[in-house]
Amino acid sequence: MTYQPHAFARTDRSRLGLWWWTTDRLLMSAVAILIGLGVMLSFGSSPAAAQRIGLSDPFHFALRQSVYAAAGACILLAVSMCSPRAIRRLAFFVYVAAIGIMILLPFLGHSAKGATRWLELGGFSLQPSEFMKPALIVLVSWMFAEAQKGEGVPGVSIAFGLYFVAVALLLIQPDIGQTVLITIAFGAAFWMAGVPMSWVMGLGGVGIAGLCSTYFLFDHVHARVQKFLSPDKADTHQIDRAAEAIAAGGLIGRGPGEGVMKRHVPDLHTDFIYSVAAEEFGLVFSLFLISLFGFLVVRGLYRAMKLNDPFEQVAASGLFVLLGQQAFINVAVNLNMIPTKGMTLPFISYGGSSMLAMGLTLGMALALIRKRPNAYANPATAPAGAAFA
Amino acid sequence: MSLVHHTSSGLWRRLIEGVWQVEHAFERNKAKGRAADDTRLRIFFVLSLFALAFLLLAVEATRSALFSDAGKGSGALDLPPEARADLVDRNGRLIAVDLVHYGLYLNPNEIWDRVETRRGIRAALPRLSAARLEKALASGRREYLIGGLTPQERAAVHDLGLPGVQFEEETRRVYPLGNSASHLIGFSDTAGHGLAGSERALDPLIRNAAHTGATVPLALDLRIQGVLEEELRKGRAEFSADSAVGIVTDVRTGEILALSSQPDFDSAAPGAAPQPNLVNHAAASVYEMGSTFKIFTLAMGLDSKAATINTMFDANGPLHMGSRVIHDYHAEHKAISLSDVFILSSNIGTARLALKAGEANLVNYFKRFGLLEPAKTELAEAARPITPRDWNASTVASASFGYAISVSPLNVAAGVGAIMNGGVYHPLTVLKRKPGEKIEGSHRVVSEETARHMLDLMRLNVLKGSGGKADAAGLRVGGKTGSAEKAGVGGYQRKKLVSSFAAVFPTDGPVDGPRYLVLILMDEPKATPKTFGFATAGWNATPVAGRVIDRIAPFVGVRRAPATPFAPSGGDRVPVGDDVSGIEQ
Repeated sequence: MTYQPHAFARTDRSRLGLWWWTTDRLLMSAVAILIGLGVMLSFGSSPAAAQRIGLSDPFHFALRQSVYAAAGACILLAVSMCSPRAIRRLAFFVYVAAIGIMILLPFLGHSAKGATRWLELGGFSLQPSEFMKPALIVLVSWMFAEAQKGEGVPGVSIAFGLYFVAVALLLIQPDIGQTVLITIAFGAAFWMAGVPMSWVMGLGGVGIAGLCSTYFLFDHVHARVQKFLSPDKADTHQIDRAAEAIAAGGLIGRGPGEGVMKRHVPDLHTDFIYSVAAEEFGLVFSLFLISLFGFLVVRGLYRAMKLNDPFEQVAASGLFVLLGQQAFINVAVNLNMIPTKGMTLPFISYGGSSMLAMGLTLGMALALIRKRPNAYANPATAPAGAAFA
Repeated sequence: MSLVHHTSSGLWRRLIEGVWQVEHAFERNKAKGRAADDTRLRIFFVLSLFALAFLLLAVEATRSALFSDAGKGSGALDLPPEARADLVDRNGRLIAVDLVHYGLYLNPNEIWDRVETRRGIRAALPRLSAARLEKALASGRREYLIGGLTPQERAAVHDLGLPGVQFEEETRRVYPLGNSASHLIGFSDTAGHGLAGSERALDPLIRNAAHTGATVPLALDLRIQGVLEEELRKGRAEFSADSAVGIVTDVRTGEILALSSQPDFDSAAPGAAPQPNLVNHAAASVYEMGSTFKIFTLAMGLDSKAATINTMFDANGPLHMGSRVIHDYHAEHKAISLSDVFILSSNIGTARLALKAGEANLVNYFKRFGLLEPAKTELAEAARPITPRDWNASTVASASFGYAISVSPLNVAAGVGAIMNGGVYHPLTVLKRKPGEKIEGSHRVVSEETARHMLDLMRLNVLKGSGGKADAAGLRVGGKTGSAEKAGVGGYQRKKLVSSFAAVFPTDGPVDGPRYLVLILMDEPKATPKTFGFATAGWNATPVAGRVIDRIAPFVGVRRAPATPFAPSGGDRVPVGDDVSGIEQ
């Protein structure tokens, strides 16, 4: 047996060895840290939630979150080993499955908090729309790329078709948050794929009109926007407590487990986990968390930018946009910068569907930006944004 | 293109052309060799946007964590919902204040050693009931154990180092004065709702003031309150009265400078007091006041011109009203002038005056004096008077000397105050009025001339009548006694009296000059050897009022006259005309 200085030698051509040497290990580490933090925070924050709803086991949610985190990590690793072609196939099947389940939701679904978004599967609530998002982004990127080839595939029309089917099903639930998320990600993908500026303007207008119409059509959106615009009048219990928690945390926080807001406000372990973390661990931790997400998104987009293939470029970027916007919106809601929108903080908030879907999203993204022969522009001749022949 | 071409309408054509165009925009870009490069630029743009967005998040996170007012109590939004403003007396002395206390929570799941926890907490917090602690220990979840821990108590429990013991801040209302002025101050619940006294009466004001950081000044003067309480307590003990009421008001403003109802309670722990102690007899109890009411009847008689100060009334023999007979306590068996009716406290004379003036006049004036409805004050405790179901000769005669109508001491204070204030009625207030403030609800009840006569009569009654023991040296005190038999089963009870003394000082000076009213009332005072067996107002309520006036005059700035025109009534001489208004059925 020969001496091996490393688990994977450079010369290791096994599937795992290849994966190790071609994957962006910095991004992988950032994700690993995020998942670890998520599990840690859920042990701190969710006993309060478990207690409130009368569960005898204080770690009911925390233990489940640990299982989800492990499963999410497995999905992430497995998917990140795929080739771009396999990613396209995976996206297609996931999309079809998710859409199929979403069509059946009105008949089989589980209603909670005024919406039918969940499918009960043996004690686990599956939210198909979470999985549909990354699949849709990969598929539309593929279609845009096909359209560019000019080989007769009506890619743009198909992409819009896929998008409208998804949006229609989301609005039936209704789930305005996810609709906004996929609209932004779809728009970003469409734009990055190279849509003419005049179309950008037009679609921007349609998007704004759409947002305005949801404001008038859906009561809970209306109430939330009203609440944000006139905080004096509306009941802003959650957001007020979140602001107090963040302020109470200060620079270094109250200390692990010392937070008090988590006992007073429902659902802090999901949408307002950032505030819980800020109260217990302070600004130092919050900035670390924000930096981690910022690093993930910026480095991910940077790597995607360097790719050669239009499909890989747009799909990878779109997936990072998906992650980035969700992190941004969640933290921004916690900091009361935008109206309250029920949205999970990727990898950190409690929730199985969210965790697994994020594993899928990041897995796909990492797979697409892996080093492959001819995948990247020659760094010596092609700086960012420079002409590439 | 595999799209369905349906060109019958121009709109469809344009739409399809548009789709066609964008489908091929990509192609055209590709053809120009710009696609990948273009995409790079665009991704770079998105990347920059996200970099900016996360930078913005970092800035906002810093601002929210370090420079936010949330939860600091400095902004209107950050106060706890139960926040209440500080209450202070008219001189700014603290009466009630919100202070941070701690709630103790026990999480049995985290406890290692139940025995140690039980022993430690019991030793550190003796006031916690053992049963309560056992219940929390036996429960399967985190429970609120006890609230209102002071920082010292919190430290004592905290220093035990017990796991599963947690504290959360909570606001508690603190009343540093203990029993002092408790009926006037009242109290609030832990949710910040005023439940009694000024805390309840001024609830919206106090809660709003909390948001501006302002204090709420009461009309109360703690120095006067201290004197009133001390003298009232002494008097109640001396005469073994069931309960006693004292009120001091500034008649020019209607401000309640002091108010005491004995027995009282600690505002900080109203639940610990016996239930009867919580009743504010000054506001919530109504009494047949007896002769004190003659102030109202005479003011009515003079003001309605039914009589002058010198009109003679026949007090020769009892007055027969159908089956009832009205007697005088000190029967004179002759005709007496109106001023003697007052000073001798003649029931017969007063009844004749009321009958002469007529029922309409009496009701009209009583109404103006505010005697037919709850006393006009912020206090929610103010009770509705019990008035005769119908006014006829019999009830008019009875009401004229304070029977058949029951009012609260506050009613009397407001009504007498109006007559002594140059004839202008001011609603009573627990709030400090601003100088020169226009008082809402003020109205004239009698002329200044009538007011002047009444001041003189009050003074004369102290000089020559039943109020002698209230004549504090040099303070020109005026007043009227009343000793009413309490109604019981089977009629009025001779030995159970409600004695009262309505005093005013100084009685000289301009008719609308500075003037203060002191009302003392005792419920069932007992005779003592020192009172020669008397239990009437001249022996108990009157000297208490005199001592109060003697001590508070410096606080309200009433100077002692160098020499009093008349010598005060002798110490243990039976006061003239100290009356019990008796009614025989």
